[in-house]
Amino acid sequence: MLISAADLHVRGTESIINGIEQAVSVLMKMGYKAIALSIDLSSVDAELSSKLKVLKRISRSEKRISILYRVNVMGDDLKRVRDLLSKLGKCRTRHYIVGVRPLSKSVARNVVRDRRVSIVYFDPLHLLKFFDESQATLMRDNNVVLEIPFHMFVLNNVLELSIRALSKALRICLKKDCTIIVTSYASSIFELRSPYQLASLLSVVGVPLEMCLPFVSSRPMKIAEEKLGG
Amino acid sequence: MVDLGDWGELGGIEAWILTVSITAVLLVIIVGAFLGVLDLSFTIILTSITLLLFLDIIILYRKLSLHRELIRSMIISKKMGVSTEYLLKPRKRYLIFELLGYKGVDAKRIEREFKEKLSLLSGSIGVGLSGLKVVYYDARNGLGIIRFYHLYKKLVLLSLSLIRRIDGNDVVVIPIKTTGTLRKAREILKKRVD
Repeated sequence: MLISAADLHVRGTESIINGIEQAVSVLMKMGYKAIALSIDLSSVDAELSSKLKVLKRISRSEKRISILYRVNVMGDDLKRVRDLLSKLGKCRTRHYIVGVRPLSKSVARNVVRDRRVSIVYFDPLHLLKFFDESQATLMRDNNVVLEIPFHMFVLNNVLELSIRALSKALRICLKKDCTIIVTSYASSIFELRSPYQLASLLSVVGVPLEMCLPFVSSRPMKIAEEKLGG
Repeated sequence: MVDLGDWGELGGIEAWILTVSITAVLLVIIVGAFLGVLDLSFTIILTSITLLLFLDIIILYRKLSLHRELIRSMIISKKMGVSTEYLLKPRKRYLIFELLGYKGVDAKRIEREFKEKLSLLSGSIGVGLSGLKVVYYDARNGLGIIRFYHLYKKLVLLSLSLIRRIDGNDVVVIPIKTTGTLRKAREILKKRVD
């Protein structure tokens, strides 16, 4: 039975930020206990601290659900990604998750060794190309989680590719005991999905639905609790 | 081998036992009638009853052998590590859902949208086999019930999450609870409305 679920990737778009009250009530109706609002980081600019302040204010004001915030770093150049991560340290707080979307194999391999990085996520094509057994072993050893962003995988034009990539990734994760979580990657209220719907994405590639539920409940909750507690 | 038409074939010792026993009973009845022990009309009735009885035995035998085949294939599948779920009889499931956003859609339109998304994942055959149907939809509260077979639960759940827009309006479909009976689903729905 599903006890409590966490969605660790709700994009902090204007639509979500402005309608946070409504979004929280929808998320509670779906059975979530914690969420993470994310901002994408392409360069450390002046806007970053103001964006983080907005997220921090929301996180403090909302009492019905635990809100964490998360910064996503994306890139294909290792030097640039490392630079971004080092500059992030300035605005690091306890409610803070760092997610990386590697666009090259070298970034994928090296970024998991960074202590600040908690989550790595790929789009379907890159998941198929970069996620192999050595990547899974590295992620397991460094306690980094593989994230499956739901809305990145269910677009009509990539659905077939997604199923293929997911099937491969799931097999590797189960073999190498690498932690996997599923998030909604919602950029509006209408893209939020219930834990069962998120779990069904992995269950269609062959894993029973009951086995997929920890990917949206206990595992993301553990990360959320670590961040909230620490 | 004895060909039984739609029921298939009976083979081996079972077919021989069946043939010999039918012949023996018929012989006893006919001889009895000729010797005057049995009345002619009584003989005809007795013969018909005997034939019907054997027909029943054959049907029962066919059913039992089908069951035996099923168990055998399940054992083989289990040994090979293949899921045996598909060999089971499909059972009906009722899913209570809530539509958020634009609620003023009719049940037929929602059903069409659900089927469209399901066909994206499993094709027309999957849609047909899933038995997907919107049983009930209340446009005022946005609550409804859909019916499908238990083998397609995960595909139905995923197809519901693929729905983003209906008639150009943004919507979210939230699955609330899956039940085994429509009565139970209606009870839950009623509680939710109250």
